Amino acid sequence: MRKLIIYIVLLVVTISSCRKEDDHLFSESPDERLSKKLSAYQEQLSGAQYGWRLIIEPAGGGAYGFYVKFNNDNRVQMVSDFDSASAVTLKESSYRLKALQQPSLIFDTYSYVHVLADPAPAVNNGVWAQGLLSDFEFFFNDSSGVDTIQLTGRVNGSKAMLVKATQQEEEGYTTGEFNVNLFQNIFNKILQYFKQFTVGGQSYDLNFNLSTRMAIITWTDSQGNAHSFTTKIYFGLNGIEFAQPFLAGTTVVTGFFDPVWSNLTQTISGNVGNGTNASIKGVIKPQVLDTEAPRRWWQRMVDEDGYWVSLTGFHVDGVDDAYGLTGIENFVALSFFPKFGTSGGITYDLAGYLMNEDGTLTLSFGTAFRAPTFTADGRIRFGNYLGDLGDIPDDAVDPYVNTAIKMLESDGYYLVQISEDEYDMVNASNARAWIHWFAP
Amino acid sequence: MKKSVIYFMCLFFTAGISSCVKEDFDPSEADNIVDLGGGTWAEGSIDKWINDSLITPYNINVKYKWDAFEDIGDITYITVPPKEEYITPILSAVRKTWINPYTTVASPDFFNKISPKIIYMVGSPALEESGAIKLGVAEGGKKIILLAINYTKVKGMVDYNVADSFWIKQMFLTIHHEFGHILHQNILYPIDFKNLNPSLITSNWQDYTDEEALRDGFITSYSMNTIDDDFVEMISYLLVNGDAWFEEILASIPDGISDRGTTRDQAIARLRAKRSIVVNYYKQAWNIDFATLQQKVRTAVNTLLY
Repeated sequence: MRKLIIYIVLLVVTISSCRKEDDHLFSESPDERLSKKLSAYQEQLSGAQYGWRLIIEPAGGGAYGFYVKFNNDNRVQMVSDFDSASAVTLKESSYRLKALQQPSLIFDTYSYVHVLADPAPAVNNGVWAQGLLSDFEFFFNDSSGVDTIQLTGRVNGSKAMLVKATQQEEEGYTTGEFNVNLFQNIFNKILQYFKQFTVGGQSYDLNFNLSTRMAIITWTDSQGNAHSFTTKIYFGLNGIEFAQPFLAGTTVVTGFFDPVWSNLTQTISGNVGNGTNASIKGVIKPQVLDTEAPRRWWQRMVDEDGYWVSLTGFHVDGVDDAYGLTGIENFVALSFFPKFGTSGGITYDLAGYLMNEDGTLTLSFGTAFRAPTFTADGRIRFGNYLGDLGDIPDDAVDPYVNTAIKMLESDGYYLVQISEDEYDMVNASNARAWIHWFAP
Repeated sequence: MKKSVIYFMCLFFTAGISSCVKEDFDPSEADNIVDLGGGTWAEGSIDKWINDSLITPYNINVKYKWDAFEDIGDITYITVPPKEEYITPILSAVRKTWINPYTTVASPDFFNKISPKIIYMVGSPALEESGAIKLGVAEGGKKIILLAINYTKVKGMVDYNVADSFWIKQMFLTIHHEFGHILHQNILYPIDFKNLNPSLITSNWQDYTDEEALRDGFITSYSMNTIDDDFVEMISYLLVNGDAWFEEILASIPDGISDRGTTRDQAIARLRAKRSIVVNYYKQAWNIDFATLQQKVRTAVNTLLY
């Protein structure tokens, strides 16, 4: 009997659990809500009278600035800061809003947005079969507002943001005024590797890398502690813009705008947004120096029994590959092997030339230096010239000798670690010569 | 007692369950599913061209706008959509070098019955980690995927030069290759073809150059992949490159014995046999005069390239 009661109770539970009410949690069906959401986004995108600024931060790194204008018929016009041509050539392509897993914005025929995602290295200098790991299908994030829309790439997870443009911005971007070389040209007037950025009476070290589109700002506070801030950068109508704003004391730095070069003071003056003036000038030595970097750089390839590589050799006084290494027939790269070998009881380092000999990468010749010394203030001084290894081809003699002489500069070099596998080696005497080393 | 309780239970359960499915379906909730039936957009001049030139006469639709759910053989390929300015020139070239020759030499009925119904266009090639690139894919006779559209220029486009003809030629070859597959999937080629060189067929065809393949009696190295591929590579190369080219290729085979033991005479004999099987197959299976077809394709190719 007790069992029966239990069964009856169970049955009641079973039956009542079948009560199926069809009330939605929301007043409309999912499809109705989705459809409304898509129409609202459509209205927002094409309703912006002066279009939008679009900033894409590909998963592969850096940031890129666009101006886009959507119409109601699935067409979009744009310019992009990818290169000087794309900045002034307005191109039209197609877009659509679609319900994928979320409401999504798809650029569905080729445009400047796709240039970043193109899998061919010839298009964007990216990785074979991957490009810059950017996106052209984005879903709308919930945090979007009326004047800004936050997007996330569906395949690689790139970040993107649409910001409503002003009438002035629309005019600038659509009439060929977007000059991405302007900042670069002015910036290149500074011949020193190290740059000092001054805003609100305070100075910072500034490392702009316009090709990887990254900026690193470092400084020492009043207690002598070193700080560092990193942001992605992209080009805007009036200068360079920071993807993440930097707080300089109480001043919010959103970029560096309206740059003007003064030959007299060798300084770039401009502002950081909100009308606050700022300047950039070259310096020989930065505030914050990684004094351990030279030894770390050298020791790493000793430990790995490997070598550092540079594709272009020295940059000197504003000229890339100043000694013409890439002009040597079959030249592939300059390499540096710490503790390459021993000769007459002397262990030596080698600046070796990697050549393409019938399709095989070969260490053909190089300069041997005695062991380097490391100074307390963070410099490496290469040891005295010991000799040449291998036969130096005639067309390599000048580049070879100039490079060796430069390496032997008595003040030596600072090393700046750019990433896990990259260092810039900057001459300490005037900071106007440097070489970019990476681990192959 | 125990038994009757169980019966009783069963009864109630049945009642309980059946009461659960008594739910009225309200169709009004399903009638506006977003994008049901595919994406829509405001039609432009490209859409009109496709509609007038391909959908209406041949029932072939072209998808040129990006669709994340299109599969090009491997989901991990990173690709991008085509540039709009390339779309109609390429499709027009495809029509001239593939559709027109078949519809005039055979008949529109034949072509419409057998042709693939969807062409999907992709801007980039499918790049593989190995460094290989893929230019075309066909899916079971229903769809042809054309890759590398953004590289494929035809005469008359801005900055065209003859060196660009590589890509468009590849595209013509791809289409004739895939269409060849559809033909033999409908009516199989004679068994003689299968017996020509079965032991040389290998899925490692990539390890051989075209020259090595030729010495073994294959028109391209890809021909060695399967006997079907051998058959359709013969079709596509004969149609697109022509007989004069074929004779040149035969003449270029060097003396001696290939690594896999084929003599020059054997290779030439095999290729000639393959050619004549293809020609006879077209006549017997489809009542198409191969020479006429070939001449029409060749004329169209030449006008578009040079």
